Amino acid sequence: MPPARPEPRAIPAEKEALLWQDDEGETLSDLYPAVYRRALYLTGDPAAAEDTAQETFLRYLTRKPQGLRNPAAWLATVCTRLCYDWMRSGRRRSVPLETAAQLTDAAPLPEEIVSDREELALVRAALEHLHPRDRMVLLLRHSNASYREIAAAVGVAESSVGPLLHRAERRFRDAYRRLAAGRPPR
Amino acid sequence: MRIDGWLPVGHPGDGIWRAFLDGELPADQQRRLAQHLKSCRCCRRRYAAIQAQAAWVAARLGALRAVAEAAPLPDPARWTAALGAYPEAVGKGGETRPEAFPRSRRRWSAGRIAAAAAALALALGLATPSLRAAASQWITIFRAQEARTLRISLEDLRQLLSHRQALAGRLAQLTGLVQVEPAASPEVERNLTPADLRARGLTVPGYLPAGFALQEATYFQTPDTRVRVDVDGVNRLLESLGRSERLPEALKGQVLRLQPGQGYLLRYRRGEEWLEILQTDLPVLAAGGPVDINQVVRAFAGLLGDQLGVSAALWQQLESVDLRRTLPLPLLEGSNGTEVKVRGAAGTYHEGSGRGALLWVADERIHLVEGPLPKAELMRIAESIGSPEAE
Repeated sequence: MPPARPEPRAIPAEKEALLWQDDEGETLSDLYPAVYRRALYLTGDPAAAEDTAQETFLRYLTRKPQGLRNPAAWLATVCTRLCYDWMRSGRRRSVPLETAAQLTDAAPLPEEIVSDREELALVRAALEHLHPRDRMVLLLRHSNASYREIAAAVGVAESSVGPLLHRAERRFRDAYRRLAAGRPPR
Repeated sequence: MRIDGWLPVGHPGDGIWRAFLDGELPADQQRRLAQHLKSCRCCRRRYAAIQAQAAWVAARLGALRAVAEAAPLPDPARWTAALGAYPEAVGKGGETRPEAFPRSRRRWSAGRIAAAAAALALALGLATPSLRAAASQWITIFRAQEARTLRISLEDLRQLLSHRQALAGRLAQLTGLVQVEPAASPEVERNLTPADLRARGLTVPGYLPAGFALQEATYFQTPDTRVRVDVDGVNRLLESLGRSERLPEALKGQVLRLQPGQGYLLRYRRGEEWLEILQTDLPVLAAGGPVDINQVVRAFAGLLGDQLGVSAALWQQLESVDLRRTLPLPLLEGSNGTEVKVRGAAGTYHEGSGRGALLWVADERIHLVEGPLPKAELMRIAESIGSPEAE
């Protein structure tokens, strides 16, 4: 995010409109990258991520609570919920390995971040074989969400998150190993 | 709490240890478990296994996060399109923050087109998912047969965007007065072939430039949707705002019907280049009796009108469109968009970042061809869609 935001008045009219400034002076285009990337991480599908991010902002503009203090957190929560709905709608029931490989192929990746696309494709494919709740719990925990946030996102008691997480990790490891060995996951 | 597997009394379950590992248990419980770990070899072994498994998973998922963090962002032009701005507009603002929005390949998904269409319809005061196929007992009051470009100036766009919040407030007032059932969300089928799409009555391209291979064929179908309007409520609201527009009395007690429709998204790939072709039925709105849709739409537009703050020129253009049969297509002035004809049908062409997009209306459908190709090539593909030679 750019450190200094130009004063709105200093920007020519045609550009000002394009910065998506809302009534409270929040520049929505600054918030967009985090929302899109969260959706991309959770869905693994650039098109779904784009749709979800867009829906998140439409909701922000139409249903944002009065006096919202932390728009970024509100957007993250709504985005997570929409991603979970998307997972549960089963629009992408199972992703064959080739498709997963293409998905990761589509985005050019810096060398230092990932050297092995096959590994990434395998991770995505193993995730796709999990129940959406398991998948969500795993993805959220491994992006540093608290148990409270995870519990709220998947609609369980906070005390159930530990057992759910442990089981999801085991299932993920099993699915990954089976896929890596060329066997179909259970 | 559910605990995995059989455990000797007094030994915490794996789920508890997992939460302990994350430090997510109440402080006193964390302390007690740490004590227990010191004295219980069996739990130490299990805890070590849980730690190892968590670390193994973290190593793999960490790569996914890194990929998402480094992924190129979609063109911001596309997400502002949802509020009625036309794509090219924001691309031009790129120099304001180039590092935040690297231009990437464009993708229009079915959902986004529907959202853009809905936003356009919203501006006109009606929610219109793409629907059609008239049933005999219904009188069709809106069935778009053609498109007409609506020239939007940057000033109008700025006004529309700056009044979003006020507009949203007014729309919220309206939600109690207009009921839509069911809230439309399309049925989607993936992994089809163009032949499958043709078998469902859709038209597919007969020409493609060399090297493009089909990656994805997605079919979608929108449900039959009913709309009920509280005519007296809306008219009272109009009156209280001092507007002269009114909903027609004929609308009272009527159920409006947005008829089901279908469409597809075809995605072709050549190396790193993507070509996308989209087709979707235009909305058809029907009522049980004669209702002038122009009057309906203008009443809703009037309701929003004092909030929109757009120029008289734009209103005049809107007024001159016969909404019973014409779909307005926005064309932003000052962008590099131009009007085009595809086999005689009206549409628009926009280009930027080495890509071009043709959007036109023909055979009661919206068509979009978008890809990294010169205009002539895109036109050739467009003209091959549904042409007799192609079939």
